[in-house]
Amino acid sequence: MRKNWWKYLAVLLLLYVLAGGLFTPLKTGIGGTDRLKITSMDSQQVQIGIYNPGADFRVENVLISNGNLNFTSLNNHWDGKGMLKATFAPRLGKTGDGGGLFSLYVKANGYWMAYPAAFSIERNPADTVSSNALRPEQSNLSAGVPDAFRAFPNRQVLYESIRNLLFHVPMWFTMICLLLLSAWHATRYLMKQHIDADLRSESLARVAVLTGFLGCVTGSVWARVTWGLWWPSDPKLNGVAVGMLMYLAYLLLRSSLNDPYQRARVSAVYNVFVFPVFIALIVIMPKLSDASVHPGSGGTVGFNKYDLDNTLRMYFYPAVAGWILLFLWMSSLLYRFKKIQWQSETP
Amino acid sequence: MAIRNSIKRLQFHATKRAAGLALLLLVQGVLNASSAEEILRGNGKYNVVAAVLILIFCGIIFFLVRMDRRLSQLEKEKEGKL
Repeated sequence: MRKNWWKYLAVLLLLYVLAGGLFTPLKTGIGGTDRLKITSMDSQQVQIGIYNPGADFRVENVLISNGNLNFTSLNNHWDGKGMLKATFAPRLGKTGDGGGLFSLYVKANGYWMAYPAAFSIERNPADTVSSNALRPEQSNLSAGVPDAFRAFPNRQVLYESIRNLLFHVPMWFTMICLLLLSAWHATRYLMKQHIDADLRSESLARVAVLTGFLGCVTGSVWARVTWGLWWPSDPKLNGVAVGMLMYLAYLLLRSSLNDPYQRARVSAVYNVFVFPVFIALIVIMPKLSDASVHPGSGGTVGFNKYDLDNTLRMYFYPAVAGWILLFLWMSSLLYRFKKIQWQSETP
Repeated sequence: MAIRNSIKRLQFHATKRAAGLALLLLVQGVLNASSAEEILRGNGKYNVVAAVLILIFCGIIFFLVRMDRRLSQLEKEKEGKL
């Protein structure tokens, strides 16, 4: 018990993360609309799907805005189950800044919900009023849904799949952590020449390749559902592909050398050199590139700024710790096996 | 002995095939298009979370199975020495 406390900790943390991460509901949000285009001047009804509305959902205001022009709906009808019908008659006018994409905002129970880039508005030739005369008063749209406890952020495109933050992202954290430890044991081998350090380094690297593979596969499935492609062309993905190949080369290098001491020395040197390159490929290069679909790289912002609210954070850090400990446990099993194998081979 | 080994190998291939089929079905489930109503309301996308968890579980089981096989091999070698 005293020696194995961290294994119990891993199990407890992961149970906590699974229970909380799977059962915590999503915040109320706009799920989608039945049209992408509205025409100017005509009165038209738009259906808006509301996700997780809750029992006492009261619609107060519905408006569309492109930052310059705001159009409030003429009337709203809430069916009490999840469908909101709002009638708009926007007027772009003859000139001015009509175009661009309009975002949809719904105010319910005192808070605004946003659905970015919901519609484009088509100009109507019959609309001959100067658009400057139409400019309505600016609404204060900055007040969002409060950082409510016990609910995850409801983000366009992501929706429920935001929970994958607790399962896909820690795979990469685990891989980096295991590879760092592997490189550290490799330097320890180079300094002390104990075969024990080499066995530790190898087991950590093997399990790290497994977590990297799991990160690729889970990320691929997630990308298919959110970004629409199994493997989008993205600096982070390309970096990871090259990084994985480098570590597969490490495993090949190991199996190609027969003398255990030579194998240990050569692979330790390779390991120590390849780790900084790996970090550069998956952390630094995506940050330097112009654009990336991954949060936190290129021009996009990280999860930290907008998506990682306090409820998600309550599970995210335990998830990272729990997954790291679980895979450390697995690599320690592999190390113990390799040690017994080594002892039985060299009497 | 040879027959028993070949039966074992066949069984192993059968489980491998079954696992592959299960994974394929899972991926298809994720790909399945949702109804118009679901799309309008944002199509929860909860099934991706399930898919991701199942894939991680498969990875851990893969590790366990490999460990098990290598351990029994080592056990056999040790018994042979004794």
